[in-house]
Amino acid sequence: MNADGLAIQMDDEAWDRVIATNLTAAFRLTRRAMRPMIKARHGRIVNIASVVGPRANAGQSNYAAAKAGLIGMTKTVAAEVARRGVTVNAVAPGFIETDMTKDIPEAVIDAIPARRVGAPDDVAAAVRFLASDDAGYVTGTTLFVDGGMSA
Amino acid sequence: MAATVTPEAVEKTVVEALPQFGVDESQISRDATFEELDVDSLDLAELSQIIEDEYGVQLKGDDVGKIKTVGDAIDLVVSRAG
Repeated sequence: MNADGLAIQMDDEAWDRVIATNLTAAFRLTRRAMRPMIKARHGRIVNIASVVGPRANAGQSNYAAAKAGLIGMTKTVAAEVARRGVTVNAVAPGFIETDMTKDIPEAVIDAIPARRVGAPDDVAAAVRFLASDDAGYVTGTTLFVDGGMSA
Repeated sequence: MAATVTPEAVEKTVVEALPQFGVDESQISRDATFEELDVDSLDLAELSQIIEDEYGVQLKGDDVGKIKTVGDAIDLVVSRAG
């Protein structure tokens, strides 16, 4: 969810709404989901972050703050629960074909090293890996699925 | 339906729960500190959860931070239930 605008013109409501949806909601869900996972000594949490946050995107200071916060939360919660067999990771998509990105200008796509937007399946594959038994020793990390944008 | 809180019942719950955090049962007494037992903050959070599930008594992070011994934990649960 986003509510774009330059920071100098962004009202509190646009800031709060984006932080609430993209960061606070993830925290509350994580807090609740961890209980049975800790009890079971096994669990997987995969947060969907964004390439925006670790890198700039003018007009999205609220979204960038939420997604960078989500990555920070992912690392710290991962450290807290690692010894219970629960992993906490993030996937950071770049531009992916969705309603949110359908009006991307050609110039933006030219700036992506892969020269194309990603497909939802590209993101799903990363989530599937982090949720799998193969990823049992992978925790606190952010896997970028961005066609090389943050390389 | 939550179980009735009595010092004896809570002590039993605590003593039975601690071994799953790697505590040697023979080391457990009211005077034993969680530090001596090598019970860390995540273990205490999990113990709080077990107590909440069993007795419906919610222990907050602040409360749990203050307790030092097994006896403190039992007394805290009993006082919160009152």
